[in-house]
Formats: sequence, structure tokens, C-alpha cells
Amino acid sequence: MNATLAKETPAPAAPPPGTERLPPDAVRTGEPFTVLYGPGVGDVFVDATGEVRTMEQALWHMLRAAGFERIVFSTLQDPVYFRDDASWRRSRRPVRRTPGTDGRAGPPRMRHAGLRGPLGATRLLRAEPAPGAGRPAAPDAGAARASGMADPFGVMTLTAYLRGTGHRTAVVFPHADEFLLHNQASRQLAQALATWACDGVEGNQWVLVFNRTSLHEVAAFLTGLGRCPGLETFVTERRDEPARGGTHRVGLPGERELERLVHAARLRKGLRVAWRDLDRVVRAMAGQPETARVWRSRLHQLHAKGARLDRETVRPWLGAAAAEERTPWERLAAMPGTEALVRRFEGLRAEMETEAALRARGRPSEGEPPSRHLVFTGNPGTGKTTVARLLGEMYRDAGVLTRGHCVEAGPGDLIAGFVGQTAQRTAAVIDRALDGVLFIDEAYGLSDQREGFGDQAIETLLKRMEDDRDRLVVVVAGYPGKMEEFLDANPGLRSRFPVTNVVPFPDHDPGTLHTILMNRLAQRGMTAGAEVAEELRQIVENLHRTRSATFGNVREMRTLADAVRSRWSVRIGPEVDEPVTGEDIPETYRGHLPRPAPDPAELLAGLDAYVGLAPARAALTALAWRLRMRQERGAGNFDPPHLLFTGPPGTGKTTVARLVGALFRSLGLLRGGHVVEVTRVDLVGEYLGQTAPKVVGACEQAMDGVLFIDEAYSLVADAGGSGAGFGKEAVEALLREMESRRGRLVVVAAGYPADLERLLDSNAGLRSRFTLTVPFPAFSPEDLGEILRRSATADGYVLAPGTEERARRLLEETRRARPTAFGNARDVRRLLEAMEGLKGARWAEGDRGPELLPEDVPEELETGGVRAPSGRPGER
Amino acid sequence: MSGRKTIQVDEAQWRRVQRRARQLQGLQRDVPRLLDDVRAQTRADVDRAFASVDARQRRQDEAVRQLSDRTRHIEAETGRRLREQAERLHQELHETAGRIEEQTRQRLDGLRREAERALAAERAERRAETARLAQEIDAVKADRARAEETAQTWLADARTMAGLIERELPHERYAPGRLDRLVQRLATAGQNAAEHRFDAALALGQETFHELSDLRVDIEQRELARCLARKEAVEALVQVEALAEENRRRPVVDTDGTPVTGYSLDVAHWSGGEYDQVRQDTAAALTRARDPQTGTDALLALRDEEAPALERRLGETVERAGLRQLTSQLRVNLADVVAQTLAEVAFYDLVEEECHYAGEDERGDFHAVLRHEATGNEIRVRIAQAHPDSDQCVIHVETTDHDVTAEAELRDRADAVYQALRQEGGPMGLEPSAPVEETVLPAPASVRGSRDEAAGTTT
Repeated sequence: MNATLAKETPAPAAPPPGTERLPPDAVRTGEPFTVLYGPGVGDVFVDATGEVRTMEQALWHMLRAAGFERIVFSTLQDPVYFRDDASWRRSRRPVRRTPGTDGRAGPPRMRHAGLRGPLGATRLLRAEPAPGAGRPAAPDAGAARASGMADPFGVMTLTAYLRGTGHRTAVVFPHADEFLLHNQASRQLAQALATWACDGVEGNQWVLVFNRTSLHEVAAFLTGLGRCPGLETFVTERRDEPARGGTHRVGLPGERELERLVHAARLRKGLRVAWRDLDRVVRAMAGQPETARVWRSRLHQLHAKGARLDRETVRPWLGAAAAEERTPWERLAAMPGTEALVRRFEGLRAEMETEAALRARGRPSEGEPPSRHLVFTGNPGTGKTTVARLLGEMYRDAGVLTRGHCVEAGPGDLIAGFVGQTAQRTAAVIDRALDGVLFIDEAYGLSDQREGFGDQAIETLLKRMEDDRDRLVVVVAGYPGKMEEFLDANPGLRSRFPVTNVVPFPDHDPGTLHTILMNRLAQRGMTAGAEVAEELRQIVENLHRTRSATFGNVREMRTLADAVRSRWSVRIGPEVDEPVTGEDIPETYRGHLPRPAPDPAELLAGLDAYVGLAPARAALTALAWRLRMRQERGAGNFDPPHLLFTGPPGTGKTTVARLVGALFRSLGLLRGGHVVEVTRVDLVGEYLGQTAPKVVGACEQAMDGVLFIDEAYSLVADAGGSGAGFGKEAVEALLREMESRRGRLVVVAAGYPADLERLLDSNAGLRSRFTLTVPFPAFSPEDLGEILRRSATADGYVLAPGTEERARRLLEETRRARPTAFGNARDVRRLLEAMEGLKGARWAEGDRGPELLPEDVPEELETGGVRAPSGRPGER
Repeated sequence: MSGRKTIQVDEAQWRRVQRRARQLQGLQRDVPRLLDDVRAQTRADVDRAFASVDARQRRQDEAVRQLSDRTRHIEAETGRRLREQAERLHQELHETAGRIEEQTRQRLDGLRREAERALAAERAERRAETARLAQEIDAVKADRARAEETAQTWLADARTMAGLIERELPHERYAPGRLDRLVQRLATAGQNAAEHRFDAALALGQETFHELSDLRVDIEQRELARCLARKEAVEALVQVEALAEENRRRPVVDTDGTPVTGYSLDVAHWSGGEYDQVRQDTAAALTRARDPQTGTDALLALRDEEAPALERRLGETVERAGLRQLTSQLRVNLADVVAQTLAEVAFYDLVEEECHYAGEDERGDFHAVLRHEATGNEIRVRIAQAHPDSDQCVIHVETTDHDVTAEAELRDRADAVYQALRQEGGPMGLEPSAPVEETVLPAPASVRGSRDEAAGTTT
């Protein structure tokens, strides 16, 4: 080593401390390899002295701090190179090299100063000035590299360095993926890795840096590569048992590192910083899943624009988070309807503070710390996601999480379509959420999967919740009932999410929703007068009253506000000072406005056209009066009741059902009022799994209207046989739907009274749901005669004297002979048709009058194919 | 377990090195100094050469004074002209020493032609004189005594001249046998005189004297021409010698042409004896050039062929030496790269104390050992030239693993090393070939955990 070269090398000093993301302990494992991976690979690192270093430089510092004396790097481009002079000296013969002669007088010299010819060291061969072979510059300058080193020699050399016992050696592959993929000495490399895995030199290490975000991906890559079985085994084992050493995930920069980055930009580039905002901005930066490299570039952009780093200038990257003055606690408290939540989280905070205090006194509580994972149950739009985000910040402020960002994912982000991919995908999402909160919305989607890979996702999740206990908080969210099912799907879930950690997010009350709506309107630039506000309040109340299990809460308000704004914009054009009026409320929402209940007599006038519906009319009139009374007393609407129509066939049940739809609509109890008629066939499936969807489908169709189930008893009349139990399932599904669509769906079950009794007996829930029974008694002979007369008149006939009496007699006889099969009005219709037939014969003989004569009444009436209920004829 | 692989590196930079080394061939010439050197040496050489010319000409003057009055003034005039010509040449060469230029040569050529013209004029005068004498002979026919005296004078002058030539001039080199023939004719003339046929003796004596006089002039001219050639040959070779001396050490320039300070190329060392041989050959050539016995043609060959050849050889030697030095450095450079690559690719570190050149000689292969500190595994690398002075390099890699015995893993590692060298080599221009497996029987000791000593040898 000649004096000139020695001068170029900085005096060896104590290596500066590294960065949090590359701790020296990561390589002090005693393992033959250290596999580095993670989102921070390839990033820049800001060390404790504020130096911004490349990954390679940071690795060098880490290894030096870990006590490695010789640090060798290897890439495809440069199979062997050093970053520091000491490592170089420990690796090469002390060949005297001629220092560069660039810019000096005299002929060029040979590179090996020890070589002498007749002309001394004169170089006659013209050559480009080449860099010294592998000769390093200062560790933080660009590394000196051996140009054109051949892979076989590269592997030979690296292996020999590692085999050497003279100096603690680390060989670093900063781009291990590419190196393993394209190295031309793969044979030698595979052998070297395999040998090393079982017979390495203690203290020496291979350090492989994979540009993969998770160990799963590394393992998958190595498996796919198939060239390095030794390394593959090593990684696969660590993937399955993360507690073992030898791998280290390089994360994204934390708050402290980012603060140093800001100061580096401030001191070196002259970036101006708003000191007052600095803490908040840096904290918000740390909450973002971004690399230091990106932040550095953004800071430089700011500087280039001459802007100052403050909460406003970072808004494009951080949103409102950085600009937020309030603490997450204050923001949580400010959220409408979260009083209970605040109390809940204050409890959590108290627990954490107690724990911290105990630890501070050296008395940490023994055993596992209480689980920090939470279940949020509630309908959409109740603020679960917002609270999850705040939770991350609160945990971060409490020192539980280092970053506190919130990664939101749904089952679709975790589950893959092919075997083996789900675990990998889930792990990748978890990796992103490390040091923050993983918020899985609609988590029940994971357990719902019959044949999917949801179980794998849950398994992976549970394992990582255990393995990364200190770095991960998982919040699962969904509808209350569904979440119960989810937690029951895997015993591990119950233990990770104890009952005490279930946080209910109730639907917002109408008042809150109204406030939210009005805020939203104001945010979108609209002003609303008191009248419109009142209308909207009524709409919100009705929406809330008729809400389903999937009621969108805040989301619904947003939709409503946006719909109003759309019409408002069309109406006012540029006159933005124009306030919102009632006409800006879309018609679909206006349906929710209560209408004064009309006079019941008027409403039910439609029934007057029918014969023998007095009991039905009485029941419905009572209902109408009840509503009117409530309205007049200012007590508001109530949910429309589900109805039982009891009576034999042909007594007008279907007809009345149709009227009921219109009636309820007129009364403001239903928004639609259409009637969907179904029977067992439409609701009960033939195969397992068909039934519930059929029921849900029918209810969906009947939404805001009436679902009329004729012969309702037949639903449960299938005990035994191939479809056994499906009817029961249908009833259960129906009950669920009735509950979840409360206020927006009226179910009318029709049938013989006794049959319906049995139906109600079959499921306790049914009886409490059907609160109003409307009787449809069999028609009296007079009623039957009247029906015949009205029907004949409607068809343009006139009943001749005696005809009606004869017909009544025939109908009575028929009813008596076959009471269960008698179809009442339906059979009257049939009779009229039969009479028309006979009259037709007379018509041929020249009788062209409109009269139906007594002789047109047949001797016997063929009754309609009305099924005898329950297959038990003769019971009645 | 061990495995061996060889990777050949065909490397663009080797070629660049070679190109750079080739530029070394353009030898280093520090012109003023080189000129000074060569001038000083050549001048000394020229002065030395002309000192002997001067001495000879003085001796000839002595001899001429012994001539009869009849011929003396003519020969003295010839001698004066020859001396004058030599002096002018001497002066010219002295002044132009160190720069053999075409201009110089042309001027010297003109000088020579001028001298020849002057001498030809003399010769014409001599002929006229002889013609006058022929009339005199007719006049003295009647006077026997006077006839005898005249004939004897001519014969004596001819003999003096022959003696002069015989003694002082390299006649055998330029006109072999010609003097003998003239002496023979002189003897015949003497015989005629002894037989008192004085007219015949006189005619033959006169003719022979003229011939001897011509011979003298001819030899002197040729000798001067040789002096010029010698000067030029010496000058060329001295220049090669000076170049060799100057290029014995060269500065080192890297592949981009940038000088590498602090290092020099020791050409004598890196050439592996080639440089010394060039020096020796140059010295021998110079000795030949300076040898008075060396003829003009040989001197011209030395000047025109030998000296350039030697210079070329010198350049090539310097180039090779430079290339070897640079490739040696490249080998260790490559080891550095391989070690660096293996350090980066496989975390093997260089074991410096075990890295060396083969035989500790930088001209040889380079061996490097890398060890993986954590496992003790080793990679031995040997880097060599594919063959001497090749632009290809070979990396031999041998691995020894102690931690595994699985064939598949070892193969994976070896492949990784190869891939890395290939990829890492790219930007530097290394283009390694596919590795060649070298079959090695596993050594008995090569079991897990034990050091495999047997695998220590490289391929």
C-alpha cells in the first residue's frame, strides 16, 4: 500500500449509528444467512447523524456496527466490490499500483508499479484509464467496482472470502433476486449456498437483500427459481417459523427517521420548515405507507417550489390528517354519536397507561398483555373506518404502535383464487399494516366462503397476530349478526378477539343523521331554510324507521345530500345563493314525507265493489283509523304490520292483498305498494342451498311492497321426503328478511285458519311477527247469489227470475258435498261459465235474449281443482 | 488442477512500434559535429597523402636538375605544372573535406582538365622542340663528334628520366611494363650509340625520352586521381564510422513519437552483436581505403558501394535494436494489462517478486505470476514474441486451481479469462486469437488442497 493510496482513505473511525430500520442485531443471529426483505428495501435511510444513505451504504454501516471486519458486495454488474479500504486491503495482495497519471506530465505508466521493463514503468500500449480493480473509495462515495469480473470467479472469490477465518466477513447481495436469477455461475453458487447452509464459518455471513415485501414472496420466488435449494429451505423454514432468526423485514421509515429526513433537507437543501407544524406533519408522514425516498423527493419538490413545509403544503400528500389541529381523541369525541365509543376507548387508554406505569416501575404485569385487537360491529356508515383510523393514531400516541397508519382491506384483498396464493396475499396485506392498524371490513366474508380459501386467510391472520403481536393491531368489522358468525368460525378468533373487545357501532339516531345531512349540505355549499330542513328531518326519520339491516347511515345521508345538490344545481345554475327548496328533493325521497292519512272510508271504498268482505274491511278500517289517530296526536307513523289472511279459497284474499298494497301506500306505511304473489314453489328450493336465496330474492322483489304468500302453510308441509327441512329453512330465512326489512316489507300469509295456526306453531318467531289477522269467512248462500248476479251483470247478462235461487241451491249442495274443495267465488265464476255454455245452446236455437234462465243452471257443478289443504280431506 | 492455453495476440500496436522503430533507420545525424569530425579526419588524411606527393615531386625536381640543359627547362616546366596542379588539388580537397558534393567533384574535374590542357600544350612544345632537334641532327651528321655528344646527352637524360620514374613513381600500378619497354628501347639506343650509329641512337633516345616524360605526366595525373578517390572513400567511410559512433546510444521514442525521457537505446546491447560487426567492417574498409596499395577502382567501390552498404546496415541494426527494446517493454506492458484484467475479472493479484524476464535478460520472454489471495489459485503467464522480431506476440496462460477439481468449473474459469482478455484487449487493439488448449497430463500432486508444483513450468 503506498502512501498516496493510504491518504485517500479516511481514518477508520467508530462507525456512526445506523438507522432504526437496519439494526445491527438483525445480522447478529448466528445464522449462516441473513435474508432482508420488506417495503423498505431499496429505500434511502437517514441515520442518526442525519446523513441520507442509500440502502447499500446503510447496509455497510449496519454490518460494520455488527462487528464485521470485511464487507464485500456483489451484484450482477459487479460480482465483487468493496465499499471500504480496510475490507479491500484484507482481501487483496498488497500489489503496488501506480496512482493515476491523469493530468500529469510524462508518459503513461503501467498500473502495476512493481513491473519494470527496459523503459521502466512506461506504458506503450495505449489504454483507457481503468479504475483500480475493486478498489474502494470512501465508504459513502460510489463504490469502486471491478469491471467485468466473470461470474465463476466472482463466486469463487466470494466463497473463498467467506471460508477465510482471518477476518469476520459478510458478503452482501444488494439485489439478490436478480443475482440469483441471472448469475452465470449458478452451479457453483448453488453448491456454495448449500455447503454454507450446513457447514459455514462461524461469524461469517451471506446477506441477501430481496426486493420483496414479504418472506412469503421471497420463498415463492426461490421456489419458482428452483436453483438454490439450500437457501430455499432456509427461507421456507423461517417463513413457517418466524421466531427463528436469519431474516429481517426492512420497513418504511418511522417518525424519528422522517424527522431526521426533514432536517437533512432543511440543513442541506435549505428547505424552510414551519416549526409549529413540524411534529404534527412528521407524525402524519409516518402514518403514510411511503418510503423515505418518496418523502425526500417530495421535500425537494417543496423546496424547489420555494414552499415551506407546513401542514398546508403537505396536504396533497397527507390529506387533512396533517392539517388536523385536534388530537385523535378530540376528533373521536367530535364525531356525532360516538359518546359510547369514547368511553370505550378511554377504558382502553387507561389500561395501556396503567400497563406503562407498571412497566416504568419495573413491575410489568405478567402473562400476556390484554389483546388490542378489536371487533367493530355495526351497519355501514356508522364510522367504523373513521374510528379505525383514529385508533391507529391513538395507539401511536400511546406508544403502542410506531406508525399508526391504517391499512383497509376487504376479504377480496386477502383471498386469492388459487391454492396457496391466499396465505401469500394475506401476508402481504399484513406486512403493509405492520406497525399500524389492519382494518378488515366485512370480515365475515372470510368465514362465509363455503369452498373458498377464507379459512387460509383466517389462519394466516391468526398466526401473524401472534407472531407480530407488538407490531400489529387488527380490527375486524361487519354487521353484528354476521360478525358473531365470523368469530364462531374459528376458535382462534374468539381468543384473539375477546367479547370485551367487541365494540358495537349502533345506527345513528335520526337526529344525528339529520345533523350529518345538514352538515353535508352546508359543506357542499348549500343553504336550506327551516321548512326544507323540516322536510328533510321527516325524510331522515322515515328512512331511519324503515331502515334495513344494511342501512348505510352516514353513507345514506351523503347520497341524499348529493342527490339534492344535483337537482339544486340544475335548478339554480350559477345563482348559488339560492337556498335549497322542497323541489330539490328527489321524488324517491319525497315518498318518505308523511302524508295526512286520508279518510279510511274513502280509502277502503275499493272494497265496496266486493261482496262479503265486511270483516276484512273492518280490520283494515281499524288500522287506518289507528294511524290517523297517531298522526293527529303527533305520534308519527308506525311500521306496517304483517298480516294473516285466514279463510277458505276464493274468499277474496288475493284481491284484498292487492288493495292492501295500495292502502298502505296511501297511508304512507309503504313506499311502493306493489304485490308479489308467491307460493311454496317460489320460496323452497329443491336442493341444499337453494332455499334461502329464493326467499331473499322474493323479499327483494317485494321490497317496499307486499309479499303475498298463498297457501302459506304449505311451506312447512314437507316433513319427510327428499325436500325435508327446506320449508323450515324457508321460514327461517323469511323471518330474517322480515326483521331486516322491517318497515319496508309487508308479508301477507294466506290460507285456511287452521293451517295458518299450524304454520305459526311451527316457529315461535312467526307468531310475534304477524300481528294482525284478517278473517275471510266462507261466503253465505246470499253472498254467493249476489256474486253470481254481479258477475253476470258484468258480463252483460241478466238473471231471469228463479235463476239465482236455483244457482244458490246448486252452490250450497256443492259446498256441502265437497266442503274442502269448494272454491267460493271461484266456483261461482265456474258456475257462470257453465250457465253461459248452456245458454249458448239455446242461442243456437234462436233465443237471443240477455237472460240467463233457471234451466241454464246445470244439475251439478264441477268444482275447481282447489287442493284440499294438508292432504287431510274431511277434516272440516 | 491446471490448464494451459496459448493466446496469440496480433496487435496493431506492435505494428506501430515497428513503424516507429523503422524511423530509427533514418540515422541520427548531428550535421555540424559530423562534418567537423569527418572534415578533420579527411583533412589529416588528405594532408598526409599530399605530403608524400610533395616529397616525391621535390625529389623529381632534384632529378630534373640533373637533366641536360636541352630538356631540363621543359621538364622543369612540366614539374612546375604538376606541382601546381597537386597543390591546387590539395588545397581544394583540404577545403572541401567533409562535404563531398557534386559541385566539388565538377570543380575538381575542371581543374583536372585544365591541367591536362596545360600539359598537352607542353607536350606539343616538346614535339616542336624535337622537330628542331631533328634539323639539328641533320646538321650534325657531318660532325660525328657533335653527333655522338648529342646522342649521349639525350640518352643520359632519358636514363635520368627512367631512373626518376623507376625510383619515384608507382609506374607499375598505372602502366605496368611500360617503363621496362622504354628502358629496353633505351638500351637499344645505347647499343646504337656504342656502335656509333649516332643518328639512330639519337632518334630512338629522343623518342624514348619523350615517352618517359609522357609516362611521368600520366602517372602523376593518375596518382592525383587516386588521391581524390582515396579521399572520397575515406571520407564516406569515416562518415559511416562517425554515424555509428553517434548512433551507439539513441534516445527512446515511444509509439507516438514522444521521447521517453530518462531512457536511451543501447544499440550495441539490443542489436546483439550486429552493431559491433558493422563497426568492425567499417574499420576494415577504412584500413583498405587508407592503404596506398589500394587502387583507384577499389577506392571508388569503397566510396560508392561499401560505405552506403555499411550505412544501411547500421540503420537496420539501429532499427532492430529499437524494435527489440520497445517490444520488450510491450511484453511487460502486456503482462501489466493481463494482470490488470485478471485482477478485475478474477481477483488474481500480481506476485511481483516472481515476475521476471527469462534469464534476467530483457531481450527474452517475460514471465508473470498471478495469485488469487483467497484460494491460492495461480495463473502463470508467459509473454513471448511469436518468433524473433515478429509483430505478433503470444501469451501462454497456465492456471493452477486448488479449490475445485470439477472439469466444468475449471473450464468456465478458463473461458472467463479468455473472454476477459478478449474484451479487455479490445480498446487497446489487442486481437487475441482463439485459445489453443495445450494438453497437459495432470501431475500426480494435483489434488485438491495441495500446491501443484509440477504445473509450474510454462509451455
